Amino acid sequence: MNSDNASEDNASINILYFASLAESLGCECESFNLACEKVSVADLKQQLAARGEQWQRLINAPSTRCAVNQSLAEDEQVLASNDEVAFFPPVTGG
Amino acid sequence: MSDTIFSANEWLRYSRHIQLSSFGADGQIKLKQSRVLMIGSGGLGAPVSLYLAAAGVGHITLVDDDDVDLSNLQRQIIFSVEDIGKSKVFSAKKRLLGLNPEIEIDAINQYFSIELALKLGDNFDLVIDCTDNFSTRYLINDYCLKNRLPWIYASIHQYSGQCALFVPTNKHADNNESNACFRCVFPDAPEDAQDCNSAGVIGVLPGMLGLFQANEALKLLSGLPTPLKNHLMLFDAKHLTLQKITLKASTGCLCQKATINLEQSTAPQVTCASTTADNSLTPDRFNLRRDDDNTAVIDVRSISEHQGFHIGGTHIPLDQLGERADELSPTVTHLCYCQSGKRSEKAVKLLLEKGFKAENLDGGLANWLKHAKDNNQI
Repeated sequence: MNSDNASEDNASINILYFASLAESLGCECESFNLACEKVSVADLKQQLAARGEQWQRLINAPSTRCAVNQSLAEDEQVLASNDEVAFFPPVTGG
Repeated sequence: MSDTIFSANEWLRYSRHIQLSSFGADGQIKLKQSRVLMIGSGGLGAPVSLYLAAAGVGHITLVDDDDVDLSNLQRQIIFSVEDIGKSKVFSAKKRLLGLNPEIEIDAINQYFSIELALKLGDNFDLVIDCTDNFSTRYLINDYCLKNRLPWIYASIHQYSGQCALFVPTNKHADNNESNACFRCVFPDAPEDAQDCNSAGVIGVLPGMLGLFQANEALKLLSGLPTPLKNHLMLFDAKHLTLQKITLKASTGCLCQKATINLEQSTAPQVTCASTTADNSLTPDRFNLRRDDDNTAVIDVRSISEHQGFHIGGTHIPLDQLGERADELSPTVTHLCYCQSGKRSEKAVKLLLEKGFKAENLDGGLANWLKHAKDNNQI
């Protein structure tokens, strides 16, 4: 089994933040370690929200959307090592 | 000579398209026979309409109820100084026909409402969203679902933009295609979106996003590939990054329903005006109050903004106001102003908490200047 490889103790993903999210969170991208197996988008959001009030408000905003590997993703999607997760807000101007 | 689709002038005008591989005369004929509905004649509408008109799209309908303002000219390059105070759609029509008198332009000086959507019907090949608010985008989405019209969405904020092509699924088609709609991507409207003018935008951004829209529009109308279908493009002008997110229809979304009732389309009004509290001042009221002996004006913006332009008063940036409050008189009312009225609203709150008397110039310097301009005071 590939996942039993001892050197692969921490699976990491790459997270991107777009537009006003990047500005408000002060973070455009980061590498993130998935602490355990079967971490879903919802689990990830919960961990990010625990970072503080601003994170909690913006990551959990109903209008904030998430894409995994450039495809729109719902909360139940399970993440895998090396996934690219992008959070983006609606943009309203014109 | 008279039995041709194009006149000699048109054939010469469009020669670069006609000589273009995979576009050619076929593509140009399709453009000439196309009818496009453009909703919004502002930042996005300016470049989109200029390029569609130049390209020879035969019929363009412009919808917007706004007038041209001096602050629009930083990015809405279709307008000139002479257009200030005049209707955007009528000014745009004049400019577009000046660019290309071979096409037809309908200018509708109205807000895109449910009533107007019903009246406009379905006699279009494409709808282009150039609006500046979410409620109108939901209405455009529902209007296009109902009439099975493709539409191109774009929106901008500061240095970022988004763009997508939504093509309502043909429920009578044999294939199992199920396309995403705008509600599939954004089922929830943002609660505290920095709408309209409050957040600022780099002037070239609507040009860039508008040209992505125009590019996709010309390809769709002329039969070329449109890879933006079922994709949301995220663009960042600061870092020059571009991502395409693949979309899919969401189960339970409005677009999956058999019939769409436009009369029930939720399109709550989003207004740009900030909330008016008891201690907020209109520009007129601010001008009267500042002449009183018992008032003092404070500019709470940054040093560069103050150096750039000010209308008098003591300059104390908002982030220094707390520690410098002892410089202020406890007896007079402090009239605070900033660029848009948001920082000064915070300043007033802070001063009131510290026991001072304070009032806020509603809408800030931007609103004060617009008011002064409208009344020929500057």
